[in-house]
Amino acid sequence: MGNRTLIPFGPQHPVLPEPIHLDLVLEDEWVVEAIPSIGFIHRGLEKLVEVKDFQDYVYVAERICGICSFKHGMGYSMAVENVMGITVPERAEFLRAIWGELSRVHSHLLWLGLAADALGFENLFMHCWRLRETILDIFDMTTGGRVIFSVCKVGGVRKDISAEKLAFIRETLLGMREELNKVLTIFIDDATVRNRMSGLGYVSPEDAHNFGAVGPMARASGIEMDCRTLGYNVYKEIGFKVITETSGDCLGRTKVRIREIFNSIDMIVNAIDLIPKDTTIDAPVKGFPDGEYFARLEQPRGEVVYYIRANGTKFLERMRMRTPTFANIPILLNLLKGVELADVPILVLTIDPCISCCER
Amino acid sequence: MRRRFFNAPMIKTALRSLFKAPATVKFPTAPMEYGEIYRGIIENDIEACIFCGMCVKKCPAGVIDVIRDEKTWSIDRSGCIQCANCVTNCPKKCLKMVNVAPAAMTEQSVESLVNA
Amino acid sequence: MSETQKVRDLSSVAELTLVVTEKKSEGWRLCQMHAAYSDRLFLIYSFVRDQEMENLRIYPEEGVPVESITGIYPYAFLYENEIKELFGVQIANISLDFQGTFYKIAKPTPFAKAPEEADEIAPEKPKRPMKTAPKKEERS
Repeated sequence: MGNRTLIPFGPQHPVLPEPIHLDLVLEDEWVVEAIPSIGFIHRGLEKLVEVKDFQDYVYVAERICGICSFKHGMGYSMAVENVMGITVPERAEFLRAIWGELSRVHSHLLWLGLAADALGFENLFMHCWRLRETILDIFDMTTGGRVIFSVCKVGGVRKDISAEKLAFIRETLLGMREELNKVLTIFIDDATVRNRMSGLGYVSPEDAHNFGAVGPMARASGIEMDCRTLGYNVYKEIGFKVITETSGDCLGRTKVRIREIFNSIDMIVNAIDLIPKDTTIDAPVKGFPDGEYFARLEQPRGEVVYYIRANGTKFLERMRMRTPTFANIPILLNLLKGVELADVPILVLTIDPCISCCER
Repeated sequence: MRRRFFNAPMIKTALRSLFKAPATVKFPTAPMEYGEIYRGIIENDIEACIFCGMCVKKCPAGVIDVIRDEKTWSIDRSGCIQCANCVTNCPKKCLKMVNVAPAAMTEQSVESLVNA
Repeated sequence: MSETQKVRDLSSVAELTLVVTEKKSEGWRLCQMHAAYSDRLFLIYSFVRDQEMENLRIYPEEGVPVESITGIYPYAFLYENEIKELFGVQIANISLDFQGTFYKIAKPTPFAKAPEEADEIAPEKPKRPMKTAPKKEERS
C-alpha cells in the first residue's frame, strides 16, 4: 500500500488546447482514479437562442468552437431546415460537403501536431502545422476567413466557389498527398513514437460500447460507427469508407485519423468532379419554424446531436447540442486508471478534447 | 518481432528542411498579404447611402446605427463580427467589405460618417 | 434525413427504469439526455442502435425526484448533473453527484422557468451600448 497523493491536472497545461481540470489520485507513480471538473469555458450559448433571431443564431453556432466551426454551423442549419421543410439546392450540398471535409482534414492535422507535441516531438508538430497552412489558405481563398467562415446559412450557403478555384483546390490537394504521406508515416514508423503510443490506453470493443464512446475512439476498437452512413448531405454520391482498426490503443487511434485524412482528400476530389453546374446556392426561407427535430452529424471528433424545438415565432424555444467530447469523457476516466503519471498527457489528448464544444 | 532499434525516418525530413527556405513570413518587416475576399472592415460610400436602415436591422451583433434626419451612419468596429450581412442586404450596394484587418484599439469608440 | 426518428411518451416516471433496462439488454447505446419546456418541463432520453434512434420523453412531477439511470448506464452521470444544475430537476441517486458545482455558474438554475414565465414574449434584439461619445468625422 503506497503513498496516496492528489494532484491537479489542468486547467493550465502545455498539452491541452482548451482548459479542463482533472483531479488525479496517485499511488506512488500510478493513477488510481481521476475526477473531472469542467466548466471553465461554459458560456451558456444554449440560452442565447431564446433572444437571437433563428437566422442570426448561425453566427453564434459557428463560434462555439474554432476547430469544428463549420460543422456546427452546418448542423444547426440542417436541423432548422428539416423542421421547416426546406430543401437545400444540390450545388449548396456539394459545397457544404467540400468545406466539411476540408474541416476534417485541418482538424486531424491539428490533432496530429498536438499529439507529436505531447510526446515532445516538436519538429514533427511544426511539419504537421505547416501542412495545415495550405488548407487554411484554401479557406481564406474561398470564404474570406481562416478559422470562422460565416458561409453557411439556413437554406444553403452564402458564397459560391468558381470553377478556377475548384480546379486549384483539386490540384493542390492531389499534390499534397505525397508530402502528407512522408510526414504522416513518421507517426507509424518512428521508434520513439511507437514506444510511447503502442499498447497504451487499450479500449476493448465491449468497453467502447459500455462507456458510450463515439468517433475514432470507437472506430479504433473495431466498431463501425460513423454518422455519415445515415445518408445526409451527398455522402452517398461522393463515397466514403468507414475506417476501423483493431488494435484499440493510442497508435490505432492515430492510424484511424491519418487514414481519414487521405479518405477525405479522395472525397473532396470526387465532390469537385461531380458538382452540378447550376448556380442556385440557397433556398428562400419563409415563415418561422414550428416543431422539433434531432439532427445527427459526423464531426471530426465523432457524432454530434442537435435538437431543435420551435414554436412558430422567430426565436427558438430550445436548442441542444451534445458534442462528441462530452460523450468521450467517461471512457477517458476509465482509461486513466492504472497508468503512470507520465502517460497522462498523451491519454488526455487521445480522445481529441475540444472543450469549448463540450461546454458551450 | 525484431524492430530496428534506430528507426528514425525523421532525420531525412529534418535534414531536408535545413536547406529549404523557411515556411513562415517575416512579419512585421515583410508585408502581410491578405486574400482578395478576406473579411476585414466595413466601409460605407456615404455619398450613395440613402440611410434606409436595412443594415441596422440585419446586423446580428447590433453595432450599426443610422440617424436618417442627421444623415449619419456609424459603426462600432470593436463589436463587428465580420459576417458581411450588411453588405449582402444593402439595397444601394454602398457598403463594402475591405480586406484590411481591423486595427487594434485601446478603447471602444464609434466611427461615424456624415453626409453634410 | 433517411433515419427513423421516434419520440415515445412514457405515461409515468416510474416506468422509466424498466424501459431503460430493456433498452440496455437489447444493445442500445445512450446517445444523450436533456431537458426542455413545452407547456411543462420534460426530459428526453435518446437511444441509438446502428441507424435507428429512439427517444423517450417523461414529464417529471413537482416534488417527486426522478430516479437516476446511472445504475444501468454508468456514463449518464454527466448528463444528469448538467440537467440538475441548469434546470433544477430533482434526480436522486446519481453515482457521482457534483452537488451543484459541475459548471461554475453565478446564478443557480439559469435555464429554469417559473410557471408564469413559460409563455413570456421574447425580447427585442439587444442594442449594443455605445461606450464613448461618437467621434464625428466629416467627409463631404
